[in-house]
Amino acid sequence: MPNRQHSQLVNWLVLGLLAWLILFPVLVVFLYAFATKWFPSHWWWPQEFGLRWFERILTSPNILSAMINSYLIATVATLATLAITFPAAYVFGARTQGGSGRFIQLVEGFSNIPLAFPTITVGIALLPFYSKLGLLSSFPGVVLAHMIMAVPYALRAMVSSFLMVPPEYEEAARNLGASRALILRRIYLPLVWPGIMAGGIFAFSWSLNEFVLILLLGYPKIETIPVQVYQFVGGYYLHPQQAATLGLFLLVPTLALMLFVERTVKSSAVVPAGG
Amino acid sequence: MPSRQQLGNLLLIAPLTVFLLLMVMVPLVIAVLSSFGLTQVAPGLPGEFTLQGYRDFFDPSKPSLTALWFTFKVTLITTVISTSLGLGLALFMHFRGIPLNGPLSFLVKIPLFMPYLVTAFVFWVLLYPKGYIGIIFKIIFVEYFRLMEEAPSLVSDPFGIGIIVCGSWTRFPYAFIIIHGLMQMLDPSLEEAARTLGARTGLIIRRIYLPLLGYGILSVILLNFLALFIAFSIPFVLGASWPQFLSVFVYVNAKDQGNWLAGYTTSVVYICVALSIAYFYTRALARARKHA
Repeated sequence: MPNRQHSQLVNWLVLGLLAWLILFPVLVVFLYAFATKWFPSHWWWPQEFGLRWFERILTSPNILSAMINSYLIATVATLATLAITFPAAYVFGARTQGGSGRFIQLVEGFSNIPLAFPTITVGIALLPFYSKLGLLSSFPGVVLAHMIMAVPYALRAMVSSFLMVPPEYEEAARNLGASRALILRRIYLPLVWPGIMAGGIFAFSWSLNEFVLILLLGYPKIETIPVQVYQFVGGYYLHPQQAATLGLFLLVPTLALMLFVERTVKSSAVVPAGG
Repeated sequence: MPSRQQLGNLLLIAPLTVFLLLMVMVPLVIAVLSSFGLTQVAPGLPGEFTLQGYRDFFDPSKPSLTALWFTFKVTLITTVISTSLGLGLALFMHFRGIPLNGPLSFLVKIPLFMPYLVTAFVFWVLLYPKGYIGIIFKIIFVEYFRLMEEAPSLVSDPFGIGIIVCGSWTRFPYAFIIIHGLMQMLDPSLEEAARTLGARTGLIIRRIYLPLLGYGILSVILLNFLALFIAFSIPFVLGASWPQFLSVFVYVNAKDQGNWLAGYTTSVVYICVALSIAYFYTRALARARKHA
């Protein structure tokens, strides 16, 4: 009996340590965001909490515009990513499309390449191209750049969903004379929506947290939350409290979306949030 | 002559193909050509063939190799720490029979979901001299044990301590999730047979689990290495002004100093190394699946 109790105690100790190790950095963001008085002599805990940093941030036109930019760019980039990846995911994933040719396999393989690319090299290579096309520091330019990394994640999530649809459904619909567009809309769309949702959430989360491409291709005309956060920790005006407060506008939506994916879509895919 | 279905398929993948060509292929070609000086897309590029960029990159007296070596070293240490932590935790939970479900399943994924820039910021705040870890480090090692006269800088330091600590925290859950998942796929009768023959847990891990998980662990090592090797936000916020992480080195060369030839050459070397790691990763993953 004591052995069993000892074993349980060790389990709880290790799990507690794990929870502390993971949650402590997250809690620190909240602590800094809500601490309004924190004297160096009492470094272990703030002396006063409040919403001062939120008020300051939400009344700054620059930061408000960065927030609008972040959410708008992420929404448009997600919709555009889904629009081009959904039909392609059908071709790559639907089991009725078996052996769809070398060119299609090549495109599918190539679509994964950005995952192994250092984002900085993509940005550096795009700079002159954007400059020639007049896309530098423009909304469409930033959206397109964000889609580069969002596409492979969205595609992978959707292809997995298409793979799970039995081919007999499409064959039966075809025998009854349904067109491809109708099959996609009425048969596949309702069945693969968890994949579309997971892909969309990954794309949104990636775009929301993207930093280096905005720094290279959008800044200074287009600023987003990550750029503003960086300015508070890496710029000339250091302000960890405001950086933490602003960071919550990235952290909370990202964690909420991922919790939603975890609970509803049950996707096993794991995506890093921003390079 | 392609069939109607094949034509339809081509039409369906056309938007993605055009996007990949314009946004991935064209920039890649520009980067490769520019690294040989063959374009004039940016200031300082000669517009004719030259190997000067590569000569400079591999010249030991120039800073590029130092940046590459620093990146490799820091990434390797971080990979070893994060994979060991993940493996240790996976073995602990497996042998203790702790199920990975509900809140625990979400909890271990939090570091993976955290925006990199916010993670980098948090560790900057924790590690800088007035942060929790910075102060506690000073109290223990300088004031109590008197092991040193003053506390070393844990952030923006030349050894990459900040990057290693933050990178390990970010990547250890990935190692844990993959290794734990692979362990659940192994045949439990192997362990039962070993236990019947009197084998202890240590021997079972060494002789059964580690050999069977070998390729899985290798794929985790490669992916963690790749993810850290190509990272930007963490070294940008937590790294020192010198030596620089390769991604920061590319940024500083091209954007801040206007040395585009060096920027493109470093980018091409960077891409080649990253793609080689990705290639070995896919091979290791395929073998891991075959063994599972």
